[in-house]
Amino acid sequence: MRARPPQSIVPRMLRVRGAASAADPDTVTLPAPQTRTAPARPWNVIVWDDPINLMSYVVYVFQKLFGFSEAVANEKMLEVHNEGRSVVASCEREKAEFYVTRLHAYGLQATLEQVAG
Amino acid sequence: MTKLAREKDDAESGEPRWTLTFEAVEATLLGALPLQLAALLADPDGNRRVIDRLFPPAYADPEQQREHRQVLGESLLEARRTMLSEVTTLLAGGERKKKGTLALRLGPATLDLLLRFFNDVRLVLATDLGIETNLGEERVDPSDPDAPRYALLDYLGNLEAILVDAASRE
Repeated sequence: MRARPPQSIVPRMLRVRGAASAADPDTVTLPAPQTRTAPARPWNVIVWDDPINLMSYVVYVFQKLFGFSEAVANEKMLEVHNEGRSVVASCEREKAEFYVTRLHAYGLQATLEQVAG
Repeated sequence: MTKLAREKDDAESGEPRWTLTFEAVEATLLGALPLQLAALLADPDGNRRVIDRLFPPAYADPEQQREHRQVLGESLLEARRTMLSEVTTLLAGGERKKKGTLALRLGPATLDLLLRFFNDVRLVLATDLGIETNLGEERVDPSDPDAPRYALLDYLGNLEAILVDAASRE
């Protein structure tokens, strides 16, 4: 008597070519995985205006954390001061969280939010 | 009166060096501040407004913020405690000179440490004083019971300005 092949624990619909004999009638071919994916939307790091932090201190922090030139750091600081907020970085979420945590450590009010799709 | 003097660069690292000198009364005042700030951190629930200012939300979305706070909350508090401990060590390691003046030898890292510390104290004071708009040049009435705290806010602001100016010259 011919022994029955052991039953696969892989659900039938999930078997793919190569995972079982090509002659296996249960084998199905799944579409190739998509190799092109839409790039993840970046996260903005936003610094908010605050009545206490000195303007020169904010410039110092921007230069220290983001490596801005004095001119760019000044520009960003004035944007915060005059418009209430400024986007100081746009990057992946983990890095944005890191920047926000560092800004908080310096006493600046900062949040991160994903760029609208 | 606080003095900041530029010294020769560090011979090994080439980093700038400064000496920050405080009068005896300033040294006594500053020496007490780390402990006071540490006491606030030790009781977050009893000092909610101040704690919320020192640890502002990272996310506008309440759910994301809750998760963020859950993951990082304790480590953020611990980082602040570490900063205060480092400031205490720095102040204790200063050189006491005649008439009780205190001289601190600073490099870029310790200058940055003091800046963050002074700024934290200013944030705490301002939150406690309910300051919500930009401070003007107007003088506080000396008879105001809050006058000493406004004076400390002003004093620490001047210290910050001196240190930032020194750092930005490098």
